[in-house]
Amino acid sequence: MDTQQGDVPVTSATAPAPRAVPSSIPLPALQPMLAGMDPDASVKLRAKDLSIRYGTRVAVRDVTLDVSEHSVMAFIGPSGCGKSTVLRCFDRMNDLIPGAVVQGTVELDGESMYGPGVLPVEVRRKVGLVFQRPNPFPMSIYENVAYGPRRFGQKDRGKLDETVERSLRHAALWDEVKDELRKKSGLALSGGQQQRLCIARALATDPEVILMDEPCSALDPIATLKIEELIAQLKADYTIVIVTHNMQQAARVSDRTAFFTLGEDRAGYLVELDDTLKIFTNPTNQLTEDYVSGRFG
Amino acid sequence: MTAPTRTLRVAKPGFRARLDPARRITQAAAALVIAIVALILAFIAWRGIQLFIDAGVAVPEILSPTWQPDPDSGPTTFGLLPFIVGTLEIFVGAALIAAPLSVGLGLFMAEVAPNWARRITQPAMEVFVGIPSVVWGFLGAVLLVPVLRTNFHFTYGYSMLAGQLVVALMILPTITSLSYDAFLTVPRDMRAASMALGTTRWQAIRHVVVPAAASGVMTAIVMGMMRAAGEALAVQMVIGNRASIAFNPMSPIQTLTSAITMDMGNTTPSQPWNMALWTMGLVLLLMSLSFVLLVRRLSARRPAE
Amino acid sequence: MRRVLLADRLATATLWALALFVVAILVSIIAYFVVSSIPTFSLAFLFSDPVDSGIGGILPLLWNSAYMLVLTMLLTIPIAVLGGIYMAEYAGENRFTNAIRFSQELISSVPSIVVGLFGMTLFVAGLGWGFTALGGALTLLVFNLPLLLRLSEQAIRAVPADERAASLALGSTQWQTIRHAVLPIAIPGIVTGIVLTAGRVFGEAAALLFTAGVATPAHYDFTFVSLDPRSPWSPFHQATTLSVFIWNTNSEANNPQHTEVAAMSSMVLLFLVLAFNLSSRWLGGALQRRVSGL
Repeated sequence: MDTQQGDVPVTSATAPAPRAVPSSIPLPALQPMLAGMDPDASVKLRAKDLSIRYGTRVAVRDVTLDVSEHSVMAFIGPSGCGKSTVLRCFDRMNDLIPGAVVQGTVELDGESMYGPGVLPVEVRRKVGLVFQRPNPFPMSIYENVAYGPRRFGQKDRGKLDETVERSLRHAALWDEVKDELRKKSGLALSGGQQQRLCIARALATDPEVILMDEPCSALDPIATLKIEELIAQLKADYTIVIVTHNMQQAARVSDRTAFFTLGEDRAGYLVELDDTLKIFTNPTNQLTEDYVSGRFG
Repeated sequence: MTAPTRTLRVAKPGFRARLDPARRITQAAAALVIAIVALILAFIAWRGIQLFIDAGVAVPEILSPTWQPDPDSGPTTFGLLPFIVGTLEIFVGAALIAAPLSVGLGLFMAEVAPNWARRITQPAMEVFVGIPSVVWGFLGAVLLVPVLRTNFHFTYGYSMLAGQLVVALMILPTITSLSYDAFLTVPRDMRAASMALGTTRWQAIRHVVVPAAASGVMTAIVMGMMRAAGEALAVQMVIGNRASIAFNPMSPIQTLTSAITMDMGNTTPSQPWNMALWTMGLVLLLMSLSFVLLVRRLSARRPAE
Repeated sequence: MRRVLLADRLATATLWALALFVVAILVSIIAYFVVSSIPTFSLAFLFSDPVDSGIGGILPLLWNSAYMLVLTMLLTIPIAVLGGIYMAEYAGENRFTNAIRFSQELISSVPSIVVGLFGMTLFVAGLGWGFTALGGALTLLVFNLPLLLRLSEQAIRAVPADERAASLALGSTQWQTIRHAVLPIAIPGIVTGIVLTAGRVFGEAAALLFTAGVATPAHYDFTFVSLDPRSPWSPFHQATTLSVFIWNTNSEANNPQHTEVAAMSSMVLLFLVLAFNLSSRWLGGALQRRVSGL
């Protein structure tokens, strides 16, 4: 792979929205320039030969992938291909499903997440997860954000206030809710605000990685746009993996894209992983080509 | 401009629809429930105030701690306080014993139990709820009372505590299944959200699930209390039935329901004693009414989805 | 960190212990009845008459329990199902339906002994019937009706809206739709409700003390079919049920073997109620399969 710097500004006539990430698929001619992320950028998350079974049914098999620090990776693919299942492995959330078995290795900063003596609770503190449907707790906005820190033993009012404000600002929600932090229930917010509250709640626990499982599927286009802008900002401080069924979204927000599909054996597998641009313009695999061009799935 | 007359005619139920015999018949069947309840309220209220009207007992007298209903053994006093206190002691005590067990079991079934364990506890609760109250009373009288007497040195064994324990077991499945339902209404995602932040399961239960289900659990406990307050035979079989106010769990007591059970057959409607039993019925009815209103208020406070 | 994990383990262990404890209570209750009945129980107990002294049998009491059950359900089912149809299909949100819901809640909270008092005033004394099966059944109707009405309403509401729309779209009237499209699908749910309600009839005693009577019948002549109160077939015969008998046996205690008799009767009652609960599950499921298979 090419060792060029990845962050090339896209200012072509065919790419009208010059944002941090390309908002539409640029000309193939630009593609080699944008192709490679720096391979020396440190690997934050790594899965090797990862397979997940539910009882005897294999849900996902043999996934190997790396996620670089401070990057956004998108998982795309038809429904049932196991992209959410893989995502949840990075947070050890599959442990909560009875009968789920995880094989292979998953590493965070080079250390195994599933090794002996590793506590799921500690893994989850370093990795935040945003769910498909916004799921704030039935408590005030303040308490929602303060929930994590409180559980980890933070009792100092001043520090809690500070964390709440910082997290809400970071999630671009502060200005909208700062006047009724303690009065308004998290459930009383609009769908998009709820989802940003959930992101703030995750940020408050100071994670290094944020996983998002189709975070916009229950939101309207404007709320979706806000979340996408947020993702672009969060990239500076966090490593992000996002599952999406919306290919435009994957193209807009991610640096690299992983395409999963369902094999003949009804188990999901990773077909192709490459720079987002390449996946959407010049994929190697015919299946990927068919999927991104809308011929299948 | 052309539509209004037509839509008006469609919106209003036609003459035939209003006469629809099927509608009328089913409505009458449903109305029967109201009629029955109105009838019960009227009957009990009417018979319940006869003590004051026909027997000339002053209303405050029923708050006296003395129960002396038999004119053959001196001047009568119809103090219902011992029975009211006894009823309170039974249902509060039973709820205090049963609530931690039942709510814990409800939590277990909703949050902790693996499928195989739920396949045992769920039918077990159905069996539990089906045990008739006379069977509970019999078990209390034959198993519990002798143990309290011989092993715990109760004077009689028949005691407040025996009643509380028996009734606690009776209301256990009620509170369990209602609080289980309350826990289930908390969306699964909420627990997952808490655990994804890195909390333990118990932290998620304690700080998210329990607060979210709190009003449902309170309703469950009140429903259990309601059942405990109205239970007659099982209580009557184990509490010893002594009509005096007692606060020692080892002493025999008497409740409103057990007094009605014991004395109704031995008195005739013209006796003030009999009228006092009806007044007890009225007091019980007013208690039920307050329980229903309490439950309504609790469920109204439940936050919207 | 360590403390939080410890609390998690401790709480989980406590909840397991609780569950184990409650299940153990239930198992030991059933075991108690079975074990304590082994020395004295025989099938003859179910088929002979009660005696003043000794073991005897419970045939007339079983008969009365069954009789009360059938009579009560015959009275309850039609009214409850019709009322359920109204509440599910016709009723709107208005004061009338609110009054019905409030009545249902109130009746489910009124102590059964108080309902018994009501039955006594109305049927035993008011109408001068004395202690009768019919008076008892009408008293039981008081709390079974609202309960079964609610269960039928729920069963009918559970029928998908599509079924109604499909039938109405074919031009059926509302009643035809209910009768031919909604009810057949709701029947499994209604039957489950009926069996559950019926199970309560077996267990109820307090409401029957002053309405159906407490006297233990000596012997029933089942060949004597008549409306005469002496006939066990008559709705006007005094119908002491098995539950009332258990209470009476235990509180009168004239019989030196009353404990054994009450224990065996309790076991029979317990198994009858269990059979009802289990069969309601099974029957509901079986009917469901048949309805959906058609």
